[in-house]
Amino acid sequence: MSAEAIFAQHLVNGLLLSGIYGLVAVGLTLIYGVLEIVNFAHGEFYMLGAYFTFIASSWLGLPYYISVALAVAFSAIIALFVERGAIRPITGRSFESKVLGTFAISMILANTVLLLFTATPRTVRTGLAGTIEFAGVFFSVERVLALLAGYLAFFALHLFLQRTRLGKAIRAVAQNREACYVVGIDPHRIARLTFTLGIGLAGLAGALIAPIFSIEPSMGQAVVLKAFAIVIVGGFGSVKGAAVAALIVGLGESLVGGYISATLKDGLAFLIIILVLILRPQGIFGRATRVL
Amino acid sequence: MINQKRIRFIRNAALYSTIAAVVLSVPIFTQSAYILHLLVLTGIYLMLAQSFNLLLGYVGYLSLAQTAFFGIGAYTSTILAVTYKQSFWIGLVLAILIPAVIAAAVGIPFLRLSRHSFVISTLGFLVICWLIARNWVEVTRGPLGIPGIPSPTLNLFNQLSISFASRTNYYVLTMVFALILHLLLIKLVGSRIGRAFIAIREDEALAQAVGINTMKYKLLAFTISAGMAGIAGSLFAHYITFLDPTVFEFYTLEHVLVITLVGGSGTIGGPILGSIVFTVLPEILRAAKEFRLIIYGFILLFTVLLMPEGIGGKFKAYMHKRRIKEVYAK
Repeated sequence: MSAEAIFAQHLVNGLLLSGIYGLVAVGLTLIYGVLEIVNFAHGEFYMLGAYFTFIASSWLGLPYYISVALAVAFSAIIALFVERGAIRPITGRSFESKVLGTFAISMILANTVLLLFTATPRTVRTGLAGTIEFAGVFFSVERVLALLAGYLAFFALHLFLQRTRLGKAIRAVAQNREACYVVGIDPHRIARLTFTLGIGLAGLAGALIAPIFSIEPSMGQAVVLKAFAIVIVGGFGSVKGAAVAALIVGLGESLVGGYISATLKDGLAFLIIILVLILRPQGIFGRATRVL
Repeated sequence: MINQKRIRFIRNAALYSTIAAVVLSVPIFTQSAYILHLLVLTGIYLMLAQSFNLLLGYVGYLSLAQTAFFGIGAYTSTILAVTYKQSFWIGLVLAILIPAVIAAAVGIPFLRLSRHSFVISTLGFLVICWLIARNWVEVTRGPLGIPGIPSPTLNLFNQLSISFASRTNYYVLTMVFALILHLLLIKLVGSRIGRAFIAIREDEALAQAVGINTMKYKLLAFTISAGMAGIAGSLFAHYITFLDPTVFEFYTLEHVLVITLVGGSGTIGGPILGSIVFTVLPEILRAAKEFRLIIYGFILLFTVLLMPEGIGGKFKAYMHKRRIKEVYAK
């Protein structure tokens, strides 16, 4: 393979990772914006999305597209239960309660999957094997599909937040909770919607990644840390920031992993977190606020 | 006034020596290796939980890096003993100093952040430590781990040599450290410094406004807690005699979180109770590790939802109420 072809491969992989991380991170940042909760269990829903896809396509033999839709739906249903049982009671509590509460949810979900499926990595077969040739470079169909679907979802989310009444209500609650009562928006309903939406996006990311990498119960913990990095770089609560930061982290990981070292690739996200926190704690796109 | 102080001193001295005597005399009553094994682990996890508690319960900062300092202490002491053939005691001193120095270094940027960002950066720090332990194969042997960590021995004036290879002796060693640590901890939180910690926990802006150098005290607490975690790590490594990067995994962290939170952060007695309950309980349940962690998750969740102050906090509130009643009755 020529040097250009290898670079193109790394680039596409980087864009794919960016899309996946972006979907996970945007949910995290929305939930933070509206509920003021840093959801430590977010990665677990990404993992659940992947496992639901595995169950639907490998066990039940459903087509891949339907499996993805089911995975998103089931992640969202679980999100509704979690919201009712745990998230709503801890809203408005001290920040330790919120961190530890979501951490507990993460423990429960990750270890339940570990108990049911063991730590053995699983693979999802989609029946979409094959490659696409583009400008003399070959890309697997599954990767291209996941890449396109990821960006499409992101674009749809953008339209939803900017153009629809509900999307505007979500942004309104994130900006000013009290004022929402005045204009007749119910913040609790919006909080439930946002949580479910954010989790659905994480589930979608997991469903898209399932055929590309093997899936295992600990996959959520790895990705949530990268999503934290993205949210910190982009500024907590900022959707635009999350999108740009996802591109930086995804492409950075792919290129560092391809050209420098695979170990550094795993540590890159954390180095970015620590650097940004030291140099610009409000994030690249976040507005500086004084929070003590 | 002075008389009252002396009475209190004598009373406390009597109380502490009684507790020490009871704790250290356990091996007289039971020779069961199994019970002593559980108690050694209780003591080690207790020290780690108290290091976590010092930060969360007294300064109000939730640090997920305590298990990283535990692991760094364990690796420091192990590498010195196995690779460099140094005695346990040199390893122990460095297992306190190295985590403390690292904590002071990373604490300066971390502690400037908001409390949310602090949690996330300590989590990032933990993961970096885990990656280093797995990938720095020349020093840590990576995922293979380091076997054959020697048991500590104590040479007194080149005459008397005590080996801590037996369960009974290791129990005494662990408990001596745990007792000293608790004595220092009680002194610390009751002192002027401890009151500064609590002031920061209650309202950092106000603490700053009344002239407390909050950064200095936060950094002090972070450094001390890292040293405490380091001692626990060193004792853990020399007890288990095998060390691999799994010490940095979430299992240890979850265990310590449950011990501290259910016991009650912000009290000294809470984590003591928590460490006993949550070291003995899994043995009674005899469940698979995954199942145990699910139960832990639910226990943690219900604690956060229903009793965020923990058992220790509930007890403290009850005592406080009773004292108020007594005062009013007079």
